[in-house]
Amino acid sequence: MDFVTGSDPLLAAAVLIGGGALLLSLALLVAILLLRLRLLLRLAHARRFAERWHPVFAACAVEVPEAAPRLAPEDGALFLQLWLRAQESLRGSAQQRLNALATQVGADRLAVQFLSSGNPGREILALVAVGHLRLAGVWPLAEALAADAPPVVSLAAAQALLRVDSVRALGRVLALAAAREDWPVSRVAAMLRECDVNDTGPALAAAIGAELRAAPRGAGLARLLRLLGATAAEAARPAVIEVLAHCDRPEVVAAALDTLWNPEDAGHAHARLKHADWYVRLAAVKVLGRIGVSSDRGTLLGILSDPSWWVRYRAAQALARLPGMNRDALARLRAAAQDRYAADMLGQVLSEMEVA
Amino acid sequence: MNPEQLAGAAQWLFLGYFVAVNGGYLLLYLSALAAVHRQLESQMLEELPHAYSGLEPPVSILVPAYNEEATIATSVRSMLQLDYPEFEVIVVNDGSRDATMEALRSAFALVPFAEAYRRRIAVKTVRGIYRSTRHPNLRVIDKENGGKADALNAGINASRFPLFCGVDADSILERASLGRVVAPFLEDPTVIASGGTVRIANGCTVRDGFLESVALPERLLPLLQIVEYLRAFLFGRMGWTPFNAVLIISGAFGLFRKEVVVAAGGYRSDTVGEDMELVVRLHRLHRQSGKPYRVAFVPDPICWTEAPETLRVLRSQRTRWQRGLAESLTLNLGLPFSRRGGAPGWLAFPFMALFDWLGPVIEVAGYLLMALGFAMGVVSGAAFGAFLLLAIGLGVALSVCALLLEEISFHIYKRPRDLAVLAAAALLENFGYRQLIALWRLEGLARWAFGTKAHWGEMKRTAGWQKGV
Repeated sequence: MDFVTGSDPLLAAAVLIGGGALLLSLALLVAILLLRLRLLLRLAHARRFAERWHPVFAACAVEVPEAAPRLAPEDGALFLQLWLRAQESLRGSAQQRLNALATQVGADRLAVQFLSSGNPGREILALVAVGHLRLAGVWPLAEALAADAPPVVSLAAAQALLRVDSVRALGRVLALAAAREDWPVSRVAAMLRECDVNDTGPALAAAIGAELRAAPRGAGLARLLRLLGATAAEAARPAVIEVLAHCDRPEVVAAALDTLWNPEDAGHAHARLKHADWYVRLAAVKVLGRIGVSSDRGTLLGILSDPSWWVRYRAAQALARLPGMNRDALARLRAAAQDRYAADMLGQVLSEMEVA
Repeated sequence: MNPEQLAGAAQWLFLGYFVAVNGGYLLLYLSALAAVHRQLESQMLEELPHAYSGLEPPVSILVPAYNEEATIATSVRSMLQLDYPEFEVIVVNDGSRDATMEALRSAFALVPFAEAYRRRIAVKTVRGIYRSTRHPNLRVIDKENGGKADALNAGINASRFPLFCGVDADSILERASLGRVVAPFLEDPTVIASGGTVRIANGCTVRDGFLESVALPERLLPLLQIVEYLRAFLFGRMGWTPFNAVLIISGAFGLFRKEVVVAAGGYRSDTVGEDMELVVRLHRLHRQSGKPYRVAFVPDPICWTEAPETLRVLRSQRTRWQRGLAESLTLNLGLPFSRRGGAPGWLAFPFMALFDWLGPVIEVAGYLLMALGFAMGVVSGAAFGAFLLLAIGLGVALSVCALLLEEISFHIYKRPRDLAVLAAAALLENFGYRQLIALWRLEGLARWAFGTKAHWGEMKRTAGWQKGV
């Protein structure tokens, strides 16, 4: 092997690769320097831009400035970011004036252009902006994004639809919320809480009823019920009762029980305290924690021996919340408890009461 | 085969190895570059007000502590101030021999708490559970010594929330750390674990347990580790993200779906690399069952840690890490040999086994045999020089690639001088430091092979950057 003596082509290749790597490193170092330079220039531009526009946004608290600076299209994203922050910090009519300013400088047109940019960051920025601006013209585009885009963009699109026209959007957004398992229920619930509960209640009731008839075995029904639980829309209660009467899927039953607050519904919880699935029993015990009465004491004491830790814990908490129950009474129940698990759990809840 | 033929064959092997390992990392770099680019596209989201508000699931933060009397109160105080809607902090005192428990008791006004403790995962005896009268979301478990994994399992047993975050007691966090690492769980319901980039805190200013300002350390050893961490996290882990093949989530700050970990049996207490072993095991079990899942990694710096400043401590840390790596891989050999191994089993596992687990053997042997051959006159000076040029040239290129990725993404080190210092470190680490690390990793491998007993990773911390303690 000539490599050993230094004349092999392999040796030349090694020198070439090693030397090439060092040259590449040098080129990359130059690239790093150029990137840093570009960053510094961009930051300086953003600073100057903010200094120019902040007084204009601040003036919107009183009136829309007659002569706003010209907005260059390449500064559209910068403008929308600052404008959205201003939207968050101002309230009432000042927000309307900010909308007027955005229209005056052409930011509404830029936002619409961003919606078709294919860049998720710009799309989201634009969707939040068109929601504030209530641009009804973007409805088909936002609706398509809500249906087909990845979760973060589609959720922003759903939010935009709700802000533009909540009554019109609710049915569509709830249908998507039932179908799209990649939409976190809590995110949709946060959006729905921004809407008028007089609109969301009937819309949720209709969506739950439709889902019960169309896809009673699908995951959408439980998702809609969890949304109802998070928005506490009383108007949808009849739909929940209908679900409990016609559906026995454990996850649906648990989600339905989680929405119950009305004392008239205690029977639905009692009927499921011995359910085979622990999370259904848990949901039923939580109902008693919300609406339980003194006569539930014996039932809850029995549940303190449930095999599930969480069911025992919630039963002990429900006991502590019953009308007329206090620390001494709970301590007496603990002392009398025959079951060690029941005594331990009552001890924990007593300890929590002492620290609180 | 005569000595010359043997030396020639060895050179082929070593050169081939060096090209393969660096080529592999280069491919990972390209993957990381694409992943970071995608991340930057959606970075605008963070600029938007309340982009994620109202959807964060509650999190249990588990803090295993062993002989941490000097820093535990500050660390816990910083965790209690995290910017996150709902969380609880559970400190697990793992039979400390110092005054860790007393420090916690006096700092947080602890009182005994009669918890109905659930032993979902078997752990050493729990001596007592305490609750803070000042912070309702803080509990302390005092238990017999059983190691870090056992302490984490005890925390999991006591946790109330669906996600738990294992945090080292000496980790330095940013207020937004938890929110950042939770984000993947919000975007994808199949995410079972999520981790982020760990950075080196030496040289930085820390006040009340939070990072106040970023700067480079003055000492050489931690400086070289900064470049090493950039390589390891920005493309060693980010590169595997698009393939759902991240095999390591740092124990310093990692978020997991609790029920998934409990179903897998919790952390193994018979390994020193319990954090990596758990992630590899989760991959193995999920691949076997065919359940959809994702292990996520966010490139954002979420946690800062103090790097060893002496060779002795660094050696101890690296031998332990290597041993943990070996244990994690050998305990999960079913992953690469499964018909459902996928990217984690068929790509990431062999990559790690070949280049990280067994790599030190080839690397150290390569350097030694080439040097020995040169000394004995079997290898020519030109060949020896070419070998060094190749090994060092590729090493420098990879380190500079990591610096470029850092500049594209986070550019955390603000001063132009920092860039120059880091570039110098990227060059310098190839002259002795990397070879020394390879040697220690080989030692770790030997310790694993000969079965030396595992202990808590004790490290003498200087915490010289800490203010407001």
